[in-house]
Amino acid sequence: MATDSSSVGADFLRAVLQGAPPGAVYALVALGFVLTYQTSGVFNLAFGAQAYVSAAMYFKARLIWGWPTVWAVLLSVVVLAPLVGLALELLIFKHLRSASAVSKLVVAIGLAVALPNLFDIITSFKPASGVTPVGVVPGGADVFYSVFGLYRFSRNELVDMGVALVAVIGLGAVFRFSPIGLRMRAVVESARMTELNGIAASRVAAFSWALSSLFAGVAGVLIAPRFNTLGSSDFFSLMVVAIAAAAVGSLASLPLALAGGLGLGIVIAELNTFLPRWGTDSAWVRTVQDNLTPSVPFLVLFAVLALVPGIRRAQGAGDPLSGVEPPPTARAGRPDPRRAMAMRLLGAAVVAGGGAVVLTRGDQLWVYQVTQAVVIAIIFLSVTVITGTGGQISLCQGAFAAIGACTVYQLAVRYDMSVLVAMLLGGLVAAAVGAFLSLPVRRLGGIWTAIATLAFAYFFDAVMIKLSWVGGGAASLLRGTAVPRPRLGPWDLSHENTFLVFAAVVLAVVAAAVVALRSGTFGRSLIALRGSEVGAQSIGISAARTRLTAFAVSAFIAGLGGGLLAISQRDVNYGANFTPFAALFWTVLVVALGSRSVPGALIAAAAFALFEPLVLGGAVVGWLTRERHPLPSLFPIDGKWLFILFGLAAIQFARHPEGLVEYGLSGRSRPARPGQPAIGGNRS
Amino acid sequence: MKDVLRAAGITKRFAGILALDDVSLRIGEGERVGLIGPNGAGKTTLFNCLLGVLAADGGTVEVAGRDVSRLRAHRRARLGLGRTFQRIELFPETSVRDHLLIAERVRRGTGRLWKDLLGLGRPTAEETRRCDEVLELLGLVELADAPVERLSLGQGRLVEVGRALMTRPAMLLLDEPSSGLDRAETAALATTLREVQREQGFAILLVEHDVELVTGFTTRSYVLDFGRLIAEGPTGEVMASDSVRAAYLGTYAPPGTTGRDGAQAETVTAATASVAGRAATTGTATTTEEETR
Ligand SMILES: Nc1ncnc2c1ncn2[C@@H]1O[C@H](COP(=O)(O)OP(=O)(O)O)[C@@H](O)[C@H]1O
Ligand SMILES: [Mg+2]
Repeated sequence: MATDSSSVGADFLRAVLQGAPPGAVYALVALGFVLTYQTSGVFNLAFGAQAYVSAAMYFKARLIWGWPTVWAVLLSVVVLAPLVGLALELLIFKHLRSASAVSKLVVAIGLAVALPNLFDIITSFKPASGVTPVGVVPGGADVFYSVFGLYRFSRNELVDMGVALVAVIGLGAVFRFSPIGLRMRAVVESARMTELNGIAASRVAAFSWALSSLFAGVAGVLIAPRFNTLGSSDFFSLMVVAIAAAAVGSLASLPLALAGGLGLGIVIAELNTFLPRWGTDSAWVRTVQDNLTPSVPFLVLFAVLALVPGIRRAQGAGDPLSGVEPPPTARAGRPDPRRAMAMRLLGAAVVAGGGAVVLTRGDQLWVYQVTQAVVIAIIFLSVTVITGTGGQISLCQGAFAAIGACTVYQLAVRYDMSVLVAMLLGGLVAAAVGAFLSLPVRRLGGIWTAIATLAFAYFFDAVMIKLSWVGGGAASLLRGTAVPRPRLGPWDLSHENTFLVFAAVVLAVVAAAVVALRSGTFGRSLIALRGSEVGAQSIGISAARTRLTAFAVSAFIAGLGGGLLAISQRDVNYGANFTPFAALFWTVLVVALGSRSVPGALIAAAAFALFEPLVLGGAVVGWLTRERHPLPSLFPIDGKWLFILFGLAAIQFARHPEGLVEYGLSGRSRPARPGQPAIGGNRS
Repeated sequence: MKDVLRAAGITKRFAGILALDDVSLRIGEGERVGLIGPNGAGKTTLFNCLLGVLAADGGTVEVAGRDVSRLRAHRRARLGLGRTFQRIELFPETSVRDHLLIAERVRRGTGRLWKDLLGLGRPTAEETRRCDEVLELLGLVELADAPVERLSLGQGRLVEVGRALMTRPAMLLLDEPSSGLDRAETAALATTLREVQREQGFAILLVEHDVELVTGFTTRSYVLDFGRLIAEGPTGEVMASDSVRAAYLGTYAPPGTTGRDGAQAETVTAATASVAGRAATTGTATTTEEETR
């Protein structure tokens, strides 16, 4: 870009212009997000997935079917986007109106994982690399218009701003002039009204879901040309940036969300303009620029959560009904003890038998896959602690695991330390980070913990992992992040079978620790806190300290597992293993299958590593048919089904937080009575 | 007599409404004190300010002579303030005994993470014994292993009392223990409370609508209306005083003069009227305040 007119004022203005188009898109997403949150109480983390669906539909219609732009826009934005929103509301969230905010959040996370894959399967869409997404105007990225000789807007950028302007004006008009818009505004002002006021509320909710989803679709199609290839994780990141914008208005104010989106776009552009100029003089500014700019949204988000104590109450401020809490979800009957014991024995037999078969007769591939399952199970137990026992949703378990893996890499490769000692230290470093992270949010709880941890996960992803003393920096790009396999006394862990046994022993120790913790003071305090924070406080339990410990313990386990994963794969492999979006699926799996118990985590890990080769790949069917009949041509089934099935399974969390495994064990003889408060009038 | 609890000048504002206005009270060791007032008078809010669940906007709270105004709720609980809740706050998915055991463990302060890790965190025989004593006292022995989801409201309230008792409180704050209970259950609860209180000698601050329960159980009462203390004194006198009857009890006459049920209905009517009048009063209060500034 031309830097001839280099006065500070001109640069400043140029950056404002440059930041406005992305800011406009952030603002659109932020508006839609706040609209859903305020009208239905759903912190809709599937919003990015909805944007992806519209963008991919547009892409498919334009480039693969060769449709003209108008028809492609009509289909992907005007028709599909609101339909998806309506479907989510009518099929799912309408029935969860009285569920807690955290339950709805978990459902949305499941959808964030399931929706993009579901779309890809239904339309047999393949995000092809090399074919860049196109904008809605011809030559969008190549034709420029100069403004005051300061900045040259591309056609796409002008469209971004124009569409955003139209959308905002439209939203304002709906709010001001249409009857349903007026009612919607009332709901935004007193969110609890939605839950308490029958039919009208349903219509308002449906309408606002359709409307906000339309925003998601518009933003998705507009932002797509900025990506090289369409990938759902990019849209998820876009949404996290937009959440930061919305956080500026405490997730409650539409005008502030709008301002926050524009502001973020402009602040990032300003930083990009000015930091490099100063960076020519001092090298450290350069470092700051490289690291600070991409992390601005996440820092903003985290700062708002940590520094604005009123945010938790923001939604209910001035809401006369804010004290009216929904009744807690009733739980399925207790596990039938005899059946539970039988299942435990069966499980032990399967584990022992399977282990013996794999160790004696499995080929390399199977040993490797089972090893992955065992190691992932350790990481999943960290979710058992924080979410299952603690009732908190942490979305940065991937970052904790990565910290463990990177510590092993750094200490073992650069400082020549014993790999196993490094693994333990990795757990401790992660624990320290987890404890530190919990400081600003430990009094918030609820969905705010989820958001803060999400911000941290993205901060780690944008900044930390690129530092040379964490992920290895440039050196690791050249030489990889190789991690050696150690020897342990007489055992050489570079031997795959030996390593599998070693990993299984570590898993057994961690599992035993998790069980012991749960029945001790810490676990009982945590369970009390999960049930009722004020109740726990009333007997002297410190919410802050218990949560801090929970985060530290969970991060330790995740770090330990992450280190072991790096050792098992002989590489840190951050991009494949630990990114925030990948780690989202961990939470989804564990929560869907059973976050309350150790078997739940084990089965989730088995599903993570083995579901695809065993079930989707057709191995089980192959064994059953014993090669007499060739495999039906059905196999292998697309691996995306893994995400679809378990993403959708997470929806039942709202009714059965104990997960599928325990729910299956509980027997339906004592069915849950939905809607009945925990303490009901039923005498026993 | 030494004071277990002393509060001075407690003020609390919620987005415009003055929920508590300069409330001061003191409760002596082992004393049984009532706190009455219509719905929305600020009784629960006062509890929450005394206990540190809400941060008061002004005023001080002392427990046994120690200023606790800046301490968080769990610290105040450890200093001897136990409580129950108007809307029950039990720990779902745990048993009745679990509630008492964790309270006992926290009181002892012997829980350590490393002990848990070594499997030494399970309840000790001594803890279980003390928990069984309290269960016995409250008549909850049969329900000890029942998950709290299956309790009735009355049983749930007893569990809350038991949980609070495990902390060996110097003072117990009870927030409408009879709400949601029928007459027989209320009477049973009152008997149990009286027995336990006589035995353990803690002080009680009782928020209650049930006039009979208050008059029978407390020796002294405070009356709260629109966040302000409007009367204080021996319960019998307070109930009979003209200002209280005018502000709160309407045309209430002491038990015996009219039927009990009639008296209760009148109380409820008075309370409703009081709430309806709130908006106007609050508006006036705000205006005056702005003028003074
Ligand atoms: N968290 C809150 N936010 C806003 N207003 C509140 C809150 N809690 C209580 N109030 C208001 O404070 C006043 C006193 O309420 P409360 O203490 O519950 O009364 P009581 O327990 O005497 O029935 C009421 O007007 C109520 O609406
Ligand atoms: Mg109350």
